[in-house]
Amino acid sequence: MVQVKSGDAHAFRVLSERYRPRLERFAWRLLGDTEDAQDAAQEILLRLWQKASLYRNQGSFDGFVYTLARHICIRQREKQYKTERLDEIPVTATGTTPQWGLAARVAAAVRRLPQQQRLVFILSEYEGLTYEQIAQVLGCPKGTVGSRKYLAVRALTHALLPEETEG
Amino acid sequence: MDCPQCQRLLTAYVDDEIEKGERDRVEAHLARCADCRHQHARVTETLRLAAAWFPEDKFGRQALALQQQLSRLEVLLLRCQPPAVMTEHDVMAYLAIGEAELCLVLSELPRIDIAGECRFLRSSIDAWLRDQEVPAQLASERAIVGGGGEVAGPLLPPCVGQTRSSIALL
Repeated sequence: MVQVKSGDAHAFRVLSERYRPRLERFAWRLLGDTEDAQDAAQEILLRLWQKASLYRNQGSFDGFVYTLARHICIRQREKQYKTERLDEIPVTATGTTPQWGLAARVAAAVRRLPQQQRLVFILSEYEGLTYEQIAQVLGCPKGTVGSRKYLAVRALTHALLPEETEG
Repeated sequence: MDCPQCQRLLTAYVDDEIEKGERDRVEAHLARCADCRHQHARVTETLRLAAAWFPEDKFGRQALALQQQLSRLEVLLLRCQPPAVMTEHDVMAYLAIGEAELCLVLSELPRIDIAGECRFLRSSIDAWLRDQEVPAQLASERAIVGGGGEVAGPLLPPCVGQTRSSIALL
């Protein structure tokens, strides 16, 4: 990253190759569309190049990248659905393969989560970020990340596992 | 630690995101509480299921596109297939002949009369066609004799090329 900050294009290319698949995957889970996700990843990388000088070697670099990613994805979503919030992503937007039963059910359940819980869940479960890194991305205390993750998992348990019968 | 406290910490416990002291307390509670052990199993199972949500990769998209293309081809194939019961027009199309040729063979064709309308079973037409088949050698001889010195090219199979050239010399 130090090389990228100093304007080394080759270093940035290496960095892009490493991050692009992760960013596309993250954006795909938030936006629900492959092409939009590719566009978003491209924009995130462009912003990363432009904003490299802002990175202060404090906090995790993943945290820095996903903070940019989060802002761009939410803005892109808002652009597409000006009247909708990210909370209201249609649950049918699970890609073009509804026959992938379980994956579609999980996608629908995750997309029904409130925005902050969804972000925490995606960053934690699919992007492998620690609670500390997620707190950096969302700009909230680590304890809040834990609470949101707990609420997200509780909602997903209700959605994915059979209801328990009392007594 | 009571059950609600323990259950609020289960996700962080599974994620290995709690302090050592809390971890010990959660484990002590789990050791003596069957309900919370059950909740722990449910959290673990939920996270295991959630791992099934993966992005469609390039291969997945290609496989789907291929599948859709095959379905379209199947529909086309069904549309192209002649009906099991054919009219005279269907028979002409099926045999690739015109009205005049149909008139010539009409009396030979197995057919069904339905309330004054003539219909042909495709299976019967197929059987009739097989009866009409002439061995290749014989076909070429017929073509030569019947053609009045003019070779009916398309009727000659490639294996009789030598005959064709010798005729051409005449």
